[in-house]
Amino acid sequence: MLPPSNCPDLRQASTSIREKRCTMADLHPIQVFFSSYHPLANRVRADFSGSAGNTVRVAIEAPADLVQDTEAASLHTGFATIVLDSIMGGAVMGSLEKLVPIATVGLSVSHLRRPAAGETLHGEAVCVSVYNSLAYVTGELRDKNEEPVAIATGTFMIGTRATSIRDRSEESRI
Amino acid sequence: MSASPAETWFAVAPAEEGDCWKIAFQEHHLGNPLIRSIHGGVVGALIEHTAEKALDRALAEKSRSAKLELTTSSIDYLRVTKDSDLYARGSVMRIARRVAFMDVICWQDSEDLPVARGACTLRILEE
Repeated sequence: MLPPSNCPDLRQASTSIREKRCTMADLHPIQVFFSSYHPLANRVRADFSGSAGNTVRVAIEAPADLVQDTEAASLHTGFATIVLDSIMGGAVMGSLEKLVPIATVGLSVSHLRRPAAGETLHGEAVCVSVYNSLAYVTGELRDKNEEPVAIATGTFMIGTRATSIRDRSEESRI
Repeated sequence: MSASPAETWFAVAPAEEGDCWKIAFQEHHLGNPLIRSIHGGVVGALIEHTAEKALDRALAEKSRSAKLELTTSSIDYLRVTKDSDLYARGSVMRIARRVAFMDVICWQDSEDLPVARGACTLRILEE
């Protein structure tokens, strides 16, 4: 489970109940998203140290589950797309005064190279601006040598409906 | 040819219709478990996968054999998704000597109600 290992206060709380406890409210929204109850996010090992406000930072291990080229052990481009969409959405949530549903409207990703399974990648996403209920975000994944692996820009709608499409009388989006 | 680990994880395979690709919904594809919508990155992955496979097929029809590398994908998310299978169809915009441009449309209930569209650029590395 990611949040406890990323939160020094939680580690302290586990050794002494008199010490300060770290609640979900103390975590960056991206850490809440990547908590154990999320069926996709809990499958990857990620560390969000350094995330604050409109900036999300992550160190993430490229999972063998997503190898596309088995000879080169290189990953499907979908891995970078999933990680970038996630951390860029986290940067939007971290920039909001109160949490409201958001949705990706547009995402553009350039894949410079395919990471190898087991490689640790460092990601950063920054919510650059929010204007007219749209958030404008940049994101990148770099390798241990700081070389870019994938770079992205995205737009996210803020304040989307929080109900399932199954509950709606008419189809809609955004 | 056996599926790669990624193809297994995404549960992506050719759809019954020959020129379409399908992701069979899995619980780990969810992006928002509360409204049970599919993760935008999973939708993006299907678009990228379809672009590559559709280009591979188009090149084969021209008797060209090449290694393909997707370089850029630009995706518009048109509608909210739900917890059911995803489909995608790719079409060639232009095949040049070293790069190709593909359009992909992605849907769930009906191709007339797309949930996303993508424009992908791929590098063609002749073998």
